[in-house]
Amino acid sequence: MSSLFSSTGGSQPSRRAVLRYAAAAAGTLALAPVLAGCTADGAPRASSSVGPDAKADLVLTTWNIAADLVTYRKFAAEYKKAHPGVNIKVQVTPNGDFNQYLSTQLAGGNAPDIIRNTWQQIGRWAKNGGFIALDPYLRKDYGNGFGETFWKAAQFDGKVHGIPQHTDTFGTYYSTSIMQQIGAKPPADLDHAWNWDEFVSLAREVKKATGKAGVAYGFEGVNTAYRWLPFLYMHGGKLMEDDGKTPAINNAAGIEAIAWFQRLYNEGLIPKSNTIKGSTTAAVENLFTSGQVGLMLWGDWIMGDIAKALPQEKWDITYMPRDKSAASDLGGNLLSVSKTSKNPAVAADFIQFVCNEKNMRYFCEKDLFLPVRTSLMKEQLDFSSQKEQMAVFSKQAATVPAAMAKVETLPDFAAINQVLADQLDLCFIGSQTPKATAANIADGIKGAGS
Amino acid sequence: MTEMVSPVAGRRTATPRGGRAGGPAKRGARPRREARSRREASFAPWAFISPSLVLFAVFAFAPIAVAVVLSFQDVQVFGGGTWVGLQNYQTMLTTPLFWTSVWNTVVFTLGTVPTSAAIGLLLAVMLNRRLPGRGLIRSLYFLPMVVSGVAVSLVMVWMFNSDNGIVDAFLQSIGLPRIEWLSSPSWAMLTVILAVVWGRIGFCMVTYLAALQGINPSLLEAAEIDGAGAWRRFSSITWPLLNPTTYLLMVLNIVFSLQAFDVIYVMTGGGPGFSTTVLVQYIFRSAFTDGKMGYASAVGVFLVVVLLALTVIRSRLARKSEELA
Repeated sequence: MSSLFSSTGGSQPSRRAVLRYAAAAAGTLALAPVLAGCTADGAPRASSSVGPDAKADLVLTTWNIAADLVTYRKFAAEYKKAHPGVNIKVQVTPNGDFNQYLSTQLAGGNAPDIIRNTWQQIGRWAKNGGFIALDPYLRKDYGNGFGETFWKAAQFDGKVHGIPQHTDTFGTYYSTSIMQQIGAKPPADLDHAWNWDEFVSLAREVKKATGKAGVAYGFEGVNTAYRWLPFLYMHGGKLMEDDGKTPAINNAAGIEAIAWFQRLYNEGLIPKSNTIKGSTTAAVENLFTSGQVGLMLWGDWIMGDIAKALPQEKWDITYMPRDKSAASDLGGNLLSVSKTSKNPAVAADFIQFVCNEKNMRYFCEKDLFLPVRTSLMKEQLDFSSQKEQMAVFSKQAATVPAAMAKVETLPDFAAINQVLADQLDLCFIGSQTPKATAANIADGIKGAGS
Repeated sequence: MTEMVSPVAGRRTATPRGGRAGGPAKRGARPRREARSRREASFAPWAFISPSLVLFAVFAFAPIAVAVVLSFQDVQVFGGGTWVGLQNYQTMLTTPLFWTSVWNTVVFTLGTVPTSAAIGLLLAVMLNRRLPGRGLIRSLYFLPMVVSGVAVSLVMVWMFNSDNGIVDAFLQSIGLPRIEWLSSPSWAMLTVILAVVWGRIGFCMVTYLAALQGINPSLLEAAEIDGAGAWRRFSSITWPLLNPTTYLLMVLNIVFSLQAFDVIYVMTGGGPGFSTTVLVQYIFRSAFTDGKMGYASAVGVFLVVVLLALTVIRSRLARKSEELA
């Protein structure tokens, strides 16, 4: 299966290809500051469209992650040094209400200038005109520095509607004491990740050890239903055909993948409170930190919360379970410019500054994210903390299926995700069979196109 | 000049021409004063209601009118729409999830309205007596009403969590089995009803309390002297006199319940499955998740029509009740 980092198929690259890639990567690294529109030391330089005397008051909106707010404010201050007339205010996006928040602000003509958004969200706002095309503000070869699939996912109708800033993915959090107690040894590399049968057996043992449940899953409400998809793709299934329109889940692979996940709920291995609609961030984290489960499948971005609640010797990270292939969640963000921005040129220039190589490295290393520039993707970054765990996530990120990424960036994906949330939730609570679920998801996808 | 313009003044100035006696200067002053008084009388009410009328027009009537127009259009998140006639209404009536949400709304309304009014009445009757710390108790019962619905809901989520919630812990401590309050489709609706009732009884209690204190005590004393017991005094005097308040609470609570959103949105997200998806939540997801503003407006118009119909029915019932009384 092709991954995000290798969109050329599943075949192993030849030695010559590797050398060619390495040379290209080295070249890209050397050219990166120029490509990214900054000086060699990473300080912003005026692009052709934005001079040092530019004047603008911009608003950037981001998720409420304390460390990220600090970093964006630092970038804003640095940009202001080179453009004294540009003031950038960093604002928080209300958690979980992104669509409502942005719809009303765009309709009212006062949306923030720069919007941090996800791969699953960008397609919709690119299609309906909420985000502007950035092509007039980018050099023709600007996208060369980014991972190919990331760059493709940032485009709609051949035009760039966001600049990829970082990615992140799922791994398996585990309690070290429970692993010791049951005598389980977490896999040391991707190839030896637990297969589905091993994982179910392990979860049963963990459940016995905790006396409550075995696994928590990183659902955080309706908007996160798509996080189940890696299990479909690792089982050889797919949600939609390559045309991006025809459902492809209503078959043996799809039904089996749904049935396997339903079994985790039926056996009480995942608590019923952790179904898609009923899950909240804090409640799911609490399942793990309070010892009610010994395993948790979730993303790297919550490591900070876990580290605050538990000392490092109590927990660690390993790879996601795998089946016919490995797969994991497509996480990460892009920065886009809203259609109501009065200074789109300055906004576009600032997001290029934020996503230049130096700042992407700083952002990822300090705030624990994974880069999307090819020059950084092949490098082991010097993360400010959790270095070993981030190394696991870095390797796991290479297993995000490109076909899944393509589906998740479709303009209609918000409606498709709602179909997944409705039908999978019914299935996981035991109100619907996997077969009916697959059929209903397929029907729902047909009706989800606008 | 003014008199010429005003039809009222015109009638007045015509009167002397009819040959009525009296000095024109003296007699002319009085009609002018009366005319001014009438003008002021007709102007004053408008002056008083115009600020709220403007607010209602801008924030209620205009959005309703726009929603009605949108309901006949296929319109996405923003931008122009295309006219589709009654198609949105046709889709609404043939969508199973719409009817599921209607049914859930009915269940939710029936579960919350009589319960909160009954408990509110019971508390009001109890707190209408002299009790030590009565003021404090009244404030405590009213407290949930002034706390944000979202904050209350978050606390409820923790309390009713089936893995580590305090409610299940209590049930287990007295030997009862755990209940999957929020993760079972059979229990989730009851749980949100409990949360809403808890938040609403303070309002019902205060309203009933005000009404109880408006009842003339001599009526109850006279009944007591005539030998009426506590229940008889309540059922034959207090309860009938509380009728207008009960009607008011019924209407307000029905409106609150039909418009319920925040508690359900936070506590269950409409799940598990669709077990707590009510009409307003269905409107919300149609508008902001599916991006179908026209369709969502059609469902919104349906809700407005239902609310208007209920208000008219209530008004007629109240009038009949007053006539009978």
